Amino acid sequence: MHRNELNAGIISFVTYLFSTFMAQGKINLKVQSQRVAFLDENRFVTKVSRYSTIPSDQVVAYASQSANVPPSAITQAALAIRDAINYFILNGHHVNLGKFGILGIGIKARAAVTKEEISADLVEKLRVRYTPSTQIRELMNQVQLNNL
Amino acid sequence: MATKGKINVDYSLRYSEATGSNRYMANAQRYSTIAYRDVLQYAAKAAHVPESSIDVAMDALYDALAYFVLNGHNIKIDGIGTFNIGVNAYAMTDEADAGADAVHRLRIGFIPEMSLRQAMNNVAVTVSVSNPNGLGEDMSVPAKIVKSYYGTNPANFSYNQKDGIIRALSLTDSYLGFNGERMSRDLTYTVQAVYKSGSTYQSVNLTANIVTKNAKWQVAKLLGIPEGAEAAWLLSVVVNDGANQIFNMSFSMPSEVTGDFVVSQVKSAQVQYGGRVKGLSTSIVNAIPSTSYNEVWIEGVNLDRVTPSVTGATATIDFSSANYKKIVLSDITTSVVITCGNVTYQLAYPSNGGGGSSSSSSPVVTSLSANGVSINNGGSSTITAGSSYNFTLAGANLSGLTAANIIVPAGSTISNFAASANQVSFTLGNAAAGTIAVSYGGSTLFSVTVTEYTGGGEGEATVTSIAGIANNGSYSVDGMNVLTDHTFEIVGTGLNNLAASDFKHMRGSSQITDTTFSLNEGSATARTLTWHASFENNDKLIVQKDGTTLFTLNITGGMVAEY
Repeated sequence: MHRNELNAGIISFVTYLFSTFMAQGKINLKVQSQRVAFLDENRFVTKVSRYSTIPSDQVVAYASQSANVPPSAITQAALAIRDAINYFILNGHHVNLGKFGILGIGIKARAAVTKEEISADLVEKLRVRYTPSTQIRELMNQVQLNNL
Repeated sequence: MATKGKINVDYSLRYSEATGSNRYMANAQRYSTIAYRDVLQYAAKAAHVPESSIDVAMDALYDALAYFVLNGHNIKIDGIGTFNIGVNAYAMTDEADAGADAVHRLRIGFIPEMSLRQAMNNVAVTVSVSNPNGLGEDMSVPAKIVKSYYGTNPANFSYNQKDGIIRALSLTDSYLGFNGERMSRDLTYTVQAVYKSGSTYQSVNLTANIVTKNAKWQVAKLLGIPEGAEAAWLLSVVVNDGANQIFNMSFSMPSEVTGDFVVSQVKSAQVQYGGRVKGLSTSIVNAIPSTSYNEVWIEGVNLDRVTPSVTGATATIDFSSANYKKIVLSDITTSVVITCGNVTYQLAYPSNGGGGSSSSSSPVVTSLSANGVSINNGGSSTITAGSSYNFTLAGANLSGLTAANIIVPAGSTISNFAASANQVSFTLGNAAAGTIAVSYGGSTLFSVTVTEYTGGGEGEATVTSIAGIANNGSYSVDGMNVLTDHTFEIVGTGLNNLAASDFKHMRGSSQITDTTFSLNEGSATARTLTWHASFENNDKLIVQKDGTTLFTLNITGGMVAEY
C-alpha cells in the first residue's frame, strides 16, 4: 500500500472515532403559534431553532482540519461527486453516498382516473429525495432536545 | 459535463385512501442503486482524482455534517447541496404541551445544488401504465365515519377529545366533526334541531357548512338557529356520501319542550310470539298465532309524543319511551291495524293457528264434540233420531263462521249459534242420520258422519266399568239422594249396541219405573249415561241385554227407606 494512502486511511479512521464520540448533538426548539390549515385555526407548533447556514468554504475548512486533508482535495472531491450524482440520478438511479445516505429522484404528479388521461403533462415536478444513512440516524437518536 | 437525463414515470392502478376509489398513481421508475464504490469510481474517472482521495474527502464532509447539522446548523456543500435538520411534532392547543414533549421524530432535509435542480428541468419524461393487482378502474367505496365530535370551536377537536355529539347547541358556534376514512369526499348533512324562542318551541333544519375536509377529517359548522333564540337542541344528524348513508344519530325531544311535534319516523315494529321476535315492514306481514303471545314493539324517534291507534283488538301500552313502545294486544277478533305516527302496520290473523308468515284468515276446524266426546274430521258417531245435541266445533280463525256455514242432515235444525276465535257452539235439533259438515268459501273444512242409533242392536256389548267402578262394585251416592240427573261414564266394548232401555234401576227385586235413563252418543268403547233418579241405600243399577245381565252397580249411601 502506498504510504500516502496508508496515512489517509489512518486519518480517516481516527476522524471516524472522533466523530463518533463527539457527535452528541443538541437541538434547541422554539414554539410558536401558527395556523394549522386543515383545522383552520391556530395551534402551538414546535420547530428547530436554526442558526446560520454554514457556507461551503467553512464546511470544507472544518473538514480539511479534522481530516488533515487539503481543502482543495475536498472541494475537488465534492465536485467529482456532483458529476456522478447528476449522471446517475437524472437517469433514474439512486446513488449511495456512503455515510451520507442515499440520493434518488422523486416526482410530484397528479393521479388519473382513467388510462386515457395519463400523459407526461400530469408530472408537475421532479425532485431529489434524500435518505439519511444508518450512521446519521443513529446519531440523530442521540441528539438532545432543548426547549428555549 | 453536460447531463440531460431521461426518466420513466410509471402510472399504476392502485387504491386511493383519500378518494376511496382506484386511481392511476405515478412513481418514478427506479433502476438500480449505484453502490458507493461505483460512485467513487465514476467520480474519480470523470475528475481524474484518485478514488481514495474522494473517499477521504467524503468522510471529512460527513464529519462536518454530523458536527454542524446535529447542533442545529444548516450546511452547504458545493457540488452536493444543503443539509438541514428539522422535527416532526404534534400541534398542540396549549403552549405548555408543545416543545420537546411534542416531538416524535427528527429528520434531516436536503436541498440539492442549483445545478442539479436546473438539470432536472431538462430531463425527458416518458410514461408507462401498469395494473399490477388487476384492479378495475371503476370502484368506489363510500366514506366511513369512525368517530364523531361536537364542539363550539374546532379547537376542541383533538386526538385527546372524548368523542360524542352533545345535544345542547350553542346559539352562535356549533361544529360537528367526523374522523374516519375518505373524509375528503363531498358529504351531505341533514341536521334537525329545535330551538326556543320566547315561550314557544320551533323545529328547524340546520345548514352544515364544511370548514375542513381532508382524507381523515371533515368539520362542518351548523347554521340556522335564528337570532333571539334562547336555547337550541340537536334532534338528528344524518350524513350521506352520495346515495350511501354513513352516519345516523338521533335524540329525544328535551323534556321541557312542549307542543305538537310530528313523529319523525317509526323505524320498525316487531311481533313477539312463541318466544321469538320477528320484524315487520310497513305492509301486511306476520300473523299472531294465539292470544298468549301478542306483543308488538315499535321502534322509532319521538314516540313519547304519539299514541298509537289500534283496531281489531284491545291494546294496552305496556312500555313507552322516546324510542320504543310496547303494545300488548288482547281480545283479538279480526285483523289488527296499528297506526303510529306516519306508519300503519297490519297484522293478519293466522290461517292455521300455528304462526308463520301467512296472511290468510281462513277458519280451521279440528274437531266436533258433544258431552265430552270428540270426533275428528272424517270420523263418525251415532245420534238418537229426533234428539237435540249441544255441539262444539274447535279450531282457529272461527270467528268469521255463521250458522250458514254449518251443514246438517236434512230435517235437522240449528239454533243457539255462537262463534269465537277458537270455538263455535250450536244446538242441533231434530237430529237425523247424515253428515254434519263445515263449509267455507266453497270448500268443506270439516265433515263427520252421524248414523241413527236404534238401540238394542244385534251386536254384543260388554261393560267394563261405570263411573270408574268395576262390575258388582259399590257406588256411594252421599249427597246425591235427590231426584235429579246423575251422569256416569261407561267404558266397555260394543257400547253402541246398548240402548237406554238396557239400563234398569232396581230396588230389591222391583224396578223403579219413575227413573229415566238417557244414553248419550259416544263410541263403541265409551259412552255417557244420564240417570234421572233419586237413590235409596242398596239400590242397584243393572245393565241387561237380551235377558243377560252385563253389569251390576250397587248403590250405597242413599236415603234409608222407611217401610
